[in-house]
Amino acid sequence: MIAICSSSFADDHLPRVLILNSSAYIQKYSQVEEEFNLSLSGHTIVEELNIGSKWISEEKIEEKIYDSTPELILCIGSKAYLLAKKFTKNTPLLFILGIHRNRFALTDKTYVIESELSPVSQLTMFRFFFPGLIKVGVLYSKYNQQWFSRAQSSAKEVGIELAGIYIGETASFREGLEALLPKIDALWLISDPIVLTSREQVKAIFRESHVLQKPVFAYDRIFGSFGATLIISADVVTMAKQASQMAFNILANKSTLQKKQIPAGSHIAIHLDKIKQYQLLLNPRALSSVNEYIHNSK
Amino acid sequence: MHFMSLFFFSIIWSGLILLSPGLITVAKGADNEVYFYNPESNVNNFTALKREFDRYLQSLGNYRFVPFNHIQFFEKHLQIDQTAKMHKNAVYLLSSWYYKNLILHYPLHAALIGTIKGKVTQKKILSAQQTISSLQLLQGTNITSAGNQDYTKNILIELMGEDKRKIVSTLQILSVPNDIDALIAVGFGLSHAALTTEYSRSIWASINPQLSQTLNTLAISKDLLLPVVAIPEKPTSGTLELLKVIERMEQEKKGLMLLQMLGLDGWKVIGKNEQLMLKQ
Repeated sequence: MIAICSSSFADDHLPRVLILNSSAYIQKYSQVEEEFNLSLSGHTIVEELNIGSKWISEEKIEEKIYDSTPELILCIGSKAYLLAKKFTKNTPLLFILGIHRNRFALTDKTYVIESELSPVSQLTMFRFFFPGLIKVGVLYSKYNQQWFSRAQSSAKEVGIELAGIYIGETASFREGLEALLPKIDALWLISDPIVLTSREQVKAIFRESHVLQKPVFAYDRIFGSFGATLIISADVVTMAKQASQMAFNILANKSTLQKKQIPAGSHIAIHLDKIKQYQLLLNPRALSSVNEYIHNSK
Repeated sequence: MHFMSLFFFSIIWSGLILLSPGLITVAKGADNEVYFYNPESNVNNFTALKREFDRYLQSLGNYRFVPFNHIQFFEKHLQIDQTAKMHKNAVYLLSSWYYKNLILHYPLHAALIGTIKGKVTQKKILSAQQTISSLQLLQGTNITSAGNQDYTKNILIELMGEDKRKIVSTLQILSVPNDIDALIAVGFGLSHAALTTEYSRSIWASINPQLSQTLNTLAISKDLLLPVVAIPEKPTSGTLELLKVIERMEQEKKGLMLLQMLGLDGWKVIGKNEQLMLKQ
């Protein structure tokens, strides 16, 4: 839990907060809801609505927003944000776990916690775990061109040389992969719809990397079963704590640090057998930051 | 709360930890337990810790690792053992800071202390954005820390001085999974300051000197003891055997890796100096 100055709100006026959850069946959505609720309970009046159920109509959602007169709506997931935006005018919206968040217009009443860690956070962790790492490679498409140039300058800051191959057509994917792998110490898999266009393509990336004994660093725990060596993703519980802190600042009319925040915590998974197999130099003191160990599936 | 209801509460709670999805097979009949509670680190890797410790300990005997994430649950567990005068085989892996408070109420005795490169202490550093040049300017700001709220606030009071207690009470503490996260948060303007170990600050400075130079060192703590392994004042022979298992961890590759997961690389039998420091 976060530390809260409960004196922020007068006893006779507890602010009302509505949590709109795009789907309570998605584990990380419900984790955020639970942690957020825990931090706010006693300091605010919290109401919750799971809009993931097919039985709930848009009219019901509009009615709920109208009836509960919230001073803040926490929107978990994109569906919740789009509906809250549609049915409110001046209510501040706190948007978390948005998928393809950049596709949505944000209003001046919108506060956001981004879903992905910054490149520099991930690159710092690469160096923290593997001090001998010098060249890291990335395959990217038009969707990540800007991201790549930002990541390249961040990489310089932490002493990593970031090599990238632009994938224009699906047909050039294999050539790109074959050209990149021999030149790098590790492959960094990023969320890119052209590069990760199919399960077969993902398998090919891991297969070819393994042949050349190159570790793959990934951004989502799903890649553990494919053979990722290191996975760094945003820590959902920390995101919920950040959201609670932002909520208190919004409700108390304090200026929050930033209207858009990157996730402040990382969830780290490593595969020790792969590290041994690829003879990577591991900083043993980094092990205290590991959240999860990936083991070979039997 | 009545003793029996406390007991059942504890059983239910233990069940939650042990039977959570993805967690761990329960060691049937394990009556030799290593209890773990450490508010100094935001241990959100309980699943990994329990799985890896249980694998290791069960390869050596009928042992089980029992981590606690809330002080209330841990102390209720201790209270039950005390009330029932159970003579269980148990060792307690605890933060030294917490141990000092705990022994005021429970008859435990610290037997081992953790080491990092032979040292039994480490320092904590409070690093802030460059615009915060003095402790006074921290009033009402956000602090990131890998420790829990109570621990962080207590260390901040130690670090900043008793006269700054009022400032500490105005701080918003955001617990993050590790020290590097805490420092990056300051670098990116998500928080105003970070409380970390001296080691993390220096490794971060070597990885990202540019970002690190944007931080001010506001305060450095005195030497703080690393975690301890404690046993009941009247230990059973089983407890002493379990203590030996823990003491030998660093001699085995797997055991050493587990120690590293706790941020340590060895144990030292507690000497007079450390005993004195633990009483201060």
